[in-house]
Amino acid sequence: MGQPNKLGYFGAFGGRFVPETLMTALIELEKEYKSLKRDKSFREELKDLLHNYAGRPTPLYYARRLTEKWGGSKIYLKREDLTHTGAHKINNCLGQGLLAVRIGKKRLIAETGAGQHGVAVATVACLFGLECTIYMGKKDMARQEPNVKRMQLLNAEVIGVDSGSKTLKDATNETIRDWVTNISTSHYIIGSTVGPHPYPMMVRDFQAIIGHEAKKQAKRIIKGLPDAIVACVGGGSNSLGIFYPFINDIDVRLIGVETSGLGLKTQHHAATLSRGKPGVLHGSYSYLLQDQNGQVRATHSVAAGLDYPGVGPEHSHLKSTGRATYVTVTDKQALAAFVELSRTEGIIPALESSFALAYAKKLARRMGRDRIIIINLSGRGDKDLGTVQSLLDGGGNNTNGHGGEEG
Amino acid sequence: MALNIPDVFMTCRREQRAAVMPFLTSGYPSDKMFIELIRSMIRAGADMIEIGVPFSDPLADGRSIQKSSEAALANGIDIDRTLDLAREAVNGQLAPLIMMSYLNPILAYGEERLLRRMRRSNFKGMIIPDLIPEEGANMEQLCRKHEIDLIYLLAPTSDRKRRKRIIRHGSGFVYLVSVAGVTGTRKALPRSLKTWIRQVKKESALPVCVGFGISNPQQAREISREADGVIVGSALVEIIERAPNKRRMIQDTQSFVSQMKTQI
Ligand SMILES: Cc1ncc(COP(=O)(O)O)c(C=O)c1O
Repeated sequence: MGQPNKLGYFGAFGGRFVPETLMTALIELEKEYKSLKRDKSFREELKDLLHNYAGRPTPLYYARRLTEKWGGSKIYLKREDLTHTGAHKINNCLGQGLLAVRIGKKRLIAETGAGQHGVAVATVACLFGLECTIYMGKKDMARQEPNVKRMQLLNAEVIGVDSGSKTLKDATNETIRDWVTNISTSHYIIGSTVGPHPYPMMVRDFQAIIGHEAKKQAKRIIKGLPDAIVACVGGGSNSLGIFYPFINDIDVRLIGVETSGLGLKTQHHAATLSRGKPGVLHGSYSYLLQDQNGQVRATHSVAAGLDYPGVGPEHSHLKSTGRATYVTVTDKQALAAFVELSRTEGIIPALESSFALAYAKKLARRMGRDRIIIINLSGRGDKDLGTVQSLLDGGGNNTNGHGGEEG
Repeated sequence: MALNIPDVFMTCRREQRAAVMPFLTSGYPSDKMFIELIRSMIRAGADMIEIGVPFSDPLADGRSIQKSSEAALANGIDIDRTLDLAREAVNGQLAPLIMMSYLNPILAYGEERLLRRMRRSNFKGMIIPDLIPEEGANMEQLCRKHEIDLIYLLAPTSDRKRRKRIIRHGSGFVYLVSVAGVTGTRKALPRSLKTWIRQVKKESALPVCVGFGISNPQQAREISREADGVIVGSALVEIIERAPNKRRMIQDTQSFVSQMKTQI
């Protein structure tokens, strides 16, 4: 388990479904990545940046008050929210940024949904002295405005995308169009474990530091491994990052939480693995929310970073082998968890991470007291204050939401 | 019955000219006008016509074809309607049709189910912009079985090894993408284009047709000096978009294709 085959398949999922124009660059990227992975100076440089620039390792924090309040398993939070720029996205961006410099690219381009990936790309562009263009759906620009301002301050050109649903999917289309046009000068830092091979593998590898640290910390702090790990799934990078080092520890349950938005019975969700069918979008074959004609469906989530109709191919594979389970949580339940963590522990989580929290609450009660759950707290919630405030003011002030639905 | 693609190139070679290949999005701007426009292209002498199945996420397309694609989707166009419209538009004509579709609508419809139905609607070829030869084995085999030419794209960035692979695995013709980029009209074509077409022609046993960014009959003429065929899409969509009324839409489309035809 773990490495994709030569064509980039994890089991039946993955591959490369892209315009021919990109192929030479993708093959080159794969070659460079494989050689850099073994290159000591590259690894040292990345390690140094992750430590001194991004602030790693991030703590594995025992949430005592939350554990007591929930009255079930012990809850530990992997604090990706404490990294520089405030989400796990920086792990991938430092890796790919360094890679871009090594292969001589002068410009970074990227899509962003929540804006956390865009901010992380803009940040490493400054750090390495590269130009930077970020594509973001107009709807996301409005709901994650603080991150737009951060990117602009960091000198990134932020291009609003007006097509389709004006969210992450459409921003990704535009970034791919830019990439096809500027392939010789630009490196595309895909923000999640999606896209054509080698991206799903490469992004996972750069994010696996979350799981490696968590495992070491767990052995030290709890003298063993956790019983379950819970993480939210948008494209799947924070979840795969923390899951991956535990893949062979089969007693550790791996649970990915998708967003059921306004409810799975409505069309307003983004529960790709729970409700989708395999198909091709953005360069790989994986689960996809689509209609019977193969047109990609519009999605909905209160969390911009989860509002995406696709998912990384390795998750589709983990679903089919049963090694990981995928469940869903509604917007309302996530909002309740957002408020609950803020007020119980003084930690304001990203809305995306709140989906993992909401499911973990239910799981903690079900699994009982002598168990241990690690939640990947993928980011911090400063960016979400506007959205949350207006939802809470607008009568969505229901903080009693419970857990989630098994998917 | 429509000609097969190799027959078209044979005719063109005999007449010492390149093939003219206009593109139109299926069901654009409406079912009825689509049929009229296809017929006007044939009247003007189009040798083959490429018909685009609309897709929600056309990531190899620029603004014009994105918009026509959105309009067609809003108009309820799917693969079944495309097959019906195509059959109606060109019944009894010689010009073969080529289907252009992103992979996902084909997968959702069922590859074999589609291929089985294509010839009845005068489709003789298939272009899938997000399918590369490495992923094409299954499609190639099914296309052979159902006598549909699978036409691969070849890009300016394709190195020698890839060019070889594309030429070997494709059939019908090689679709040479004129620039690294998406579809859309461009004021000027890259200066290196000529030598590059020559290079690919030297390597290819298949005819070589050039598309992406060809905006006017003059550009078509330049390219036709080197290539076996010229594909024009966005420029036509823009003509249709700009036309003040239906009569002009048909007139302008027809005269654009005629001009291409006389220029090359
Ligand atoms: C804080 C945070 N968590 C999670 C995600 C979802 O992405 P992924 O599934 O790749 O971790 C995002 C994406 O924007 C994010 O910003």
